[in-house]
Amino acid sequence: MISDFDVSCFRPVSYELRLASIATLLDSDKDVPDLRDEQLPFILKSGEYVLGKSVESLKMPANMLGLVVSTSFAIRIGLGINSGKIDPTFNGNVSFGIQNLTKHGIILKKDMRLVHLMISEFKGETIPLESKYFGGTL
Amino acid sequence: MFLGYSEIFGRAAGLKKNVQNWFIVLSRNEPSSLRLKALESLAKLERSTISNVLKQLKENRTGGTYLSVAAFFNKLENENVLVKEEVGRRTYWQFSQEAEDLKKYLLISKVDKWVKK
Repeated sequence: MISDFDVSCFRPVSYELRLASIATLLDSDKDVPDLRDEQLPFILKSGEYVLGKSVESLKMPANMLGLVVSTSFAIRIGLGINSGKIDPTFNGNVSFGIQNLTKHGIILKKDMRLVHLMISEFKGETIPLESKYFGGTL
Repeated sequence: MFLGYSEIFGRAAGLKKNVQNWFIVLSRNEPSSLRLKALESLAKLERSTISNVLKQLKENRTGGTYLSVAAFFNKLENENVLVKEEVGRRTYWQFSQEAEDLKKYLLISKVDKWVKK
């Protein structure tokens, strides 16, 4: 279910995902803006927004749903995390938005633990997932 | 219902339920960093004396260090995790057949990461 996991990332009811890479959003006239990969460590300027990708790759079972929530560490250093749910049968790395909510720069480093993955089992049947982000594309 | 530590860990590591049960056994027998590393070292050695296990870990092979690991191994023998065999003056330890999955898990995991320093 979680590939490339680190044993120390398991928490009482969650798993802390590690930051593998980030990409900045470029101005674009398309519906979805173009992305530019950035090197870590990266200084995130005040108000700046980037997309992060997890080290871990997920393979969600058909009866499980993932929820991605901010870690208290991210909250304390002033990062706003934009994230949502991970659908059943999703396969790939997890993407999430990272915004600097402070007035000063924040250094993003590789393996930073900014989000928790919580996993819930649900009842009932679901429908097959089709998504352009399948496979963990940013 | 959200999954707790043992379920997330078990599914991520592909553990069978009975391996998780062995963790419960370990936790109620006062594991410490040294004791768990000794157990991991025994898994690598397959069959060994405590003295040799400690030698592999570059730990002191006498006194409190030895006694601590010996007490742990004896407790684990009572729990059917380990079996011992007396050969002359030496006591050889190995994992029981029932705890084979735990041995396999110790070989793939990094014990020092799940021990608080």
